[in-house]
Amino acid sequence: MNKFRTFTRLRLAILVALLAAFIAGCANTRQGVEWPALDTITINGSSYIVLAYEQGIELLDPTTGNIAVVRDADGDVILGDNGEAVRWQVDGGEFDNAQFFAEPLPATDDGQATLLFPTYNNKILEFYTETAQPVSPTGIAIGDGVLGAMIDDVEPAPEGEEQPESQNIIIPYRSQGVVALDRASLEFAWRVDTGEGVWASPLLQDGVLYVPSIDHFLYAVDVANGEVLWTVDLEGAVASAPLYYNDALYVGSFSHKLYKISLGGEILDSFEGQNWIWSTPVEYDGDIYYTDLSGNVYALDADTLQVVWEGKPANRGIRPAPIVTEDYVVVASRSGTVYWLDRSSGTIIHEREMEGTPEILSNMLLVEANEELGINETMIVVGATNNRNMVAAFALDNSIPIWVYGR
Amino acid sequence: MWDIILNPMVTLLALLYSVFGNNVIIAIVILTVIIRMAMYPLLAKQQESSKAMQELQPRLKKMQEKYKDDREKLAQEQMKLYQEHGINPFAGCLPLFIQFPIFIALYQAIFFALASTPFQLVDLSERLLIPGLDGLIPLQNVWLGMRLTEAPTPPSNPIYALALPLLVMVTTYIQFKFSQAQMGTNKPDNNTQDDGGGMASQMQNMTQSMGTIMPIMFGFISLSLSVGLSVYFITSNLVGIAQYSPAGKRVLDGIFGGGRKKKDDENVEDAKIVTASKSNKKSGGKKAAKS
Repeated sequence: MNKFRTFTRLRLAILVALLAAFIAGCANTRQGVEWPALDTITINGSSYIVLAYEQGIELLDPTTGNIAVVRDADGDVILGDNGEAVRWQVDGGEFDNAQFFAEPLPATDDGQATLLFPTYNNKILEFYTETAQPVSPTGIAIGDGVLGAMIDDVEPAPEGEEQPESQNIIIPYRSQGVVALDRASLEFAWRVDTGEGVWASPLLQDGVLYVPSIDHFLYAVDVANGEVLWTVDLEGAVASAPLYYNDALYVGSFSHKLYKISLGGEILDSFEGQNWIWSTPVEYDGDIYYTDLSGNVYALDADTLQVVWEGKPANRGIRPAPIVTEDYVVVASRSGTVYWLDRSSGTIIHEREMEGTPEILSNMLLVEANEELGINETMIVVGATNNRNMVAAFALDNSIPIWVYGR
Repeated sequence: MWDIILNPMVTLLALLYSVFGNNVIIAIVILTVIIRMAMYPLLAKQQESSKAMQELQPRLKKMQEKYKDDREKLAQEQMKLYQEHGINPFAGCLPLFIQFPIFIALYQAIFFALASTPFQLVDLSERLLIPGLDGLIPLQNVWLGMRLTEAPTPPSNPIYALALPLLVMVTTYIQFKFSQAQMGTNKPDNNTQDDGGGMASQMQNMTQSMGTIMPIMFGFISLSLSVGLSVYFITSNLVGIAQYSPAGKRVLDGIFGGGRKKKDDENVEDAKIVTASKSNKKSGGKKAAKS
């Protein structure tokens, strides 16, 4: 064996391997933006799941997980211009490669129901709710990309009362601040600048907008005119909206802490966990439930922030907010597993791995059983970053998989 | 496994960012310099090994001619020659294997630390090893009007950001030239050009091609990646240029020690080989090979 030749070839092989490793090194770093946005919507009395992710929007049939065929108020299938049933699907490639990461906001155009989808590409696209056709192919230009859902400037009216008309649409900007667009003219009504982006939908409560920003502050803003009422430093990026409960705000930050804040902006109490908090806490029966990016789940007393129980069901982070029911606290981790915890103790009752173990990062949905709509059992719907296994539904009661949707 | 290398680097970068007034550019520059300096002994070892191998080429060539019909004997003689000079022909590869993952990790550490999207920040959440650094996130990432997390191309960044990929290309080219000069492989040498099978000349051609391809490749990579990574490439190249330059190498050999003595030994060995080589030319290969 000629050692020198071997040596020379070895060097060549190493060179090639190093180049491959460099390319692999680059590939290992994630270039994506965010995870799928999931929401539920009712059209003509039928319920659908909205999936908005990267360059696609689909309406899914919650009974099958297939792309929905939209029906009118009489239950007849709506036909498109070509005479075929309309399958509710939008390709962002047809709109200057628009990317979608946020839930839609219902609107109207000339009396017809529409859905406003903010994009990552500095525009809002509007589609007719029944047909998925664009109101305008160019959309509405705005000053920045959007990651969190847009909201109306009015709160839902209590049952039996008339819903007041919304004046402005509140838009969280991914790079900096929030803006209010006049609903009728779509002109800027006001703007609040934050030091960094606003990645979550703000919370509107009693005319005050609570804006979480990754600049470490929570902003309280008068929704009528955009005046900043107060700010509070939460020692780390705030990537999720606060929870309003019992005249206090509960919000987590990257400082590992969950804060209890008065409506005047004073930190009343805090509880320190083990990693960043990236989801809105959930209140149930006087307790606050939240997760962190180390895979921990906490149940705290809402008044005192004392631990009721805490557990670490997952080895990887838990990004989505938990779904809390009478019996369960359901959480989903980056390892692709969904856990059903006993609500009173935090003990794992079921765990279900999603096929292909994709990273689950989207907020989960609880879809209630509804015999009229053909939904036989209450479901947990989770969203993942894998094209083949993007959305999956599991039965709430026994964790049995019901369907999987993939692109 | 990879996280064992990567996470300390991400943490160190965040720590430097904190120490140097929340200036991410200074943090990137200092971390790059620290890592490259720490890797210098390995680089020097690799250079020495390459140079020693190069210097043995005339004798290896003679051996190949002499034992061209007896490969086993050739292999024995070559190994004997390596042993005589205390060379392990594979020794030059080991430092390369150790260095490269570290440079990849450094590159990735900068990428992770400059996280600007939710996806990237989620990835960062598991990487900071020192409590309290979380409060620095997200790192300030605007420098001279350029958004460090965005590609240098408009509209993400001003037009002058395009100077960075250009600088990446220029510094990559200069570093390559310096490294070749240091290894003595830049100019073809009749004695070392071929090993009888054309392998050395192929290597020479490949090396020349690499000198052209690599700057272009890195220029294009910089165009598509973030401005922060261009800063890393430029800093890394500048440190490389300093390390490969004769003056820089003298200083670094002085700092890290050992290099000077080896260098002196090598010079003596060089002299022997050159003398042997000259006498070969005068008296013929066979005689020289016997000697």
